[in-house]
Amino acid sequence: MHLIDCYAYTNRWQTRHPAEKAAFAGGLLALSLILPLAGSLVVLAVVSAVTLGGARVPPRVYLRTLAIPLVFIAVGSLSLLLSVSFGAQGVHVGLATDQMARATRLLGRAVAAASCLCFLGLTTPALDWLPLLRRLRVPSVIVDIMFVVYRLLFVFIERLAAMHTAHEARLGYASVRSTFRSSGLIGANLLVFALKRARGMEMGMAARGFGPEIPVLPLECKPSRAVMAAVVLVWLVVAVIGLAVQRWFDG
Amino acid sequence: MGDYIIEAKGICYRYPCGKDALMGLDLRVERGSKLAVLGANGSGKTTLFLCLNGILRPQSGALCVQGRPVSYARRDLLEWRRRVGMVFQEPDDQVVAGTVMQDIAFGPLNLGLSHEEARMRATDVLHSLQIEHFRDRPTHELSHGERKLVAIAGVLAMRPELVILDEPTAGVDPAGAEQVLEVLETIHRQGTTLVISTHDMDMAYEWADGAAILVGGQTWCQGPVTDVFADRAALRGARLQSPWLLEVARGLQAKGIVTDGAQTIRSRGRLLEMLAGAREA
Repeated sequence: MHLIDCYAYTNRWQTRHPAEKAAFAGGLLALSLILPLAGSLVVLAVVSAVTLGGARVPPRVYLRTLAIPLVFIAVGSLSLLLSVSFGAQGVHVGLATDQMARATRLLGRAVAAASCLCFLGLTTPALDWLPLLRRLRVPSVIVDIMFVVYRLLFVFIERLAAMHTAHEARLGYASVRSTFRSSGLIGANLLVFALKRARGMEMGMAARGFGPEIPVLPLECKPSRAVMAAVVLVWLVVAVIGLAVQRWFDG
Repeated sequence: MGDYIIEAKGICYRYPCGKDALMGLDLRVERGSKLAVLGANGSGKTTLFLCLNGILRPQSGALCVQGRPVSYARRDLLEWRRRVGMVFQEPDDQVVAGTVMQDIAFGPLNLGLSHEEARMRATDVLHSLQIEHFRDRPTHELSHGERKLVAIAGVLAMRPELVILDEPTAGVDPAGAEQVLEVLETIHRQGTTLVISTHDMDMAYEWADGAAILVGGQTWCQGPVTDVFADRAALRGARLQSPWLLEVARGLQAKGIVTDGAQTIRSRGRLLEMLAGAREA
């Protein structure tokens, strides 16, 4: 979480308008789902190249971020390959080789789609979304909740780290038994802390004249037309190359 | 009759859990003054402040802002909170947005100002607190002391006439505390009335011109700093201490080194001057 956030604020494209990045990632995400497998792989290649070369996110960070969804995707795809049958001799578990193509397709698409989201996460500070969402007339309740959740997330992480350290200092994790006990205590304390913090923040916001919805300053820049045009061009090129590669591969 | 920016007369507040926090408390804040509210933990300082900002509503007693009894209607509350800004002890309660700019603009936008106006005010405040470099930083990356400055900036951007600060220097490093005090000095010079609560007697003695001591949800005494601190026994009774400056001045007076009243020595600079003068004489 901290890692993603850190690069969202330090990458080379941090100050680019979020709409440009959203159009780029969103379009390619859609393409990775529509196009055949080769298209998904082209999307993966393009997004990876842009994240590493364009936004200058270090490869290590990019791979680590991508590795998180990859675990779930791998498990999901592998489970497609297993066939379970109930016969007279009992349960039979085997490898469904006929499902190979389906599993690969799923794997390819999911990885490509995940890479698009990683690009967004690593290049765009989460807070840039708020003005954009407000502008797009997303219901204010949703934007307000995002606003508060993002702020509180860090308050809680800080608290969690402090509690963990305090437990560690008193040998809270010395044995399995004490680990369970410490974790339980942390959970309980965090709940109480959250309620207290919520009350405190409510008063803090009231003191500053909080009204019906949280006001958000709009972004100071506008999406560049040239960049938007380039994004559309990238969509088209990716679609054409994806289809061509698939045809060459099939034929 | 002085010009009171806010006045509490016999206010009582009982928390929903049944704990009596304020029991007939009186407080008067004169326009343009610097008031230090002192008291032991649990004496009602924070509850009092929350009442002065209209966040808690006393069950009985009267509260007047600029001589007029307060109203808790939404529109009046907004006007009240524009006039009376409050800085909480815990900046995390108050710093609500993810970036410094967004956060400082929060109050002005709540007042119904335009985006441009809010941005301009935020820029002004960042400039006057000399923290322009915070502008685009995410608030969770700031240190506790830096967050405190942002909390103060957020309140100042609403251009209040009175700012109430709950322990503004607690948990801040010495340089940070000095910075906070400098900021307070600047806004006081610009005509803002200030009320702070603190456990730092030395700071209160040098900084404030008036002091109020709270004990058990009531005002034990309120008056000029020199009068309030003159009574040692009363201070001890309220679980407080004499400031070192006053103790030293008293000691020097007892030894005949300083001839003027000990209360006239209100700053380190003054103390040094007196000592230099005594040596020459």
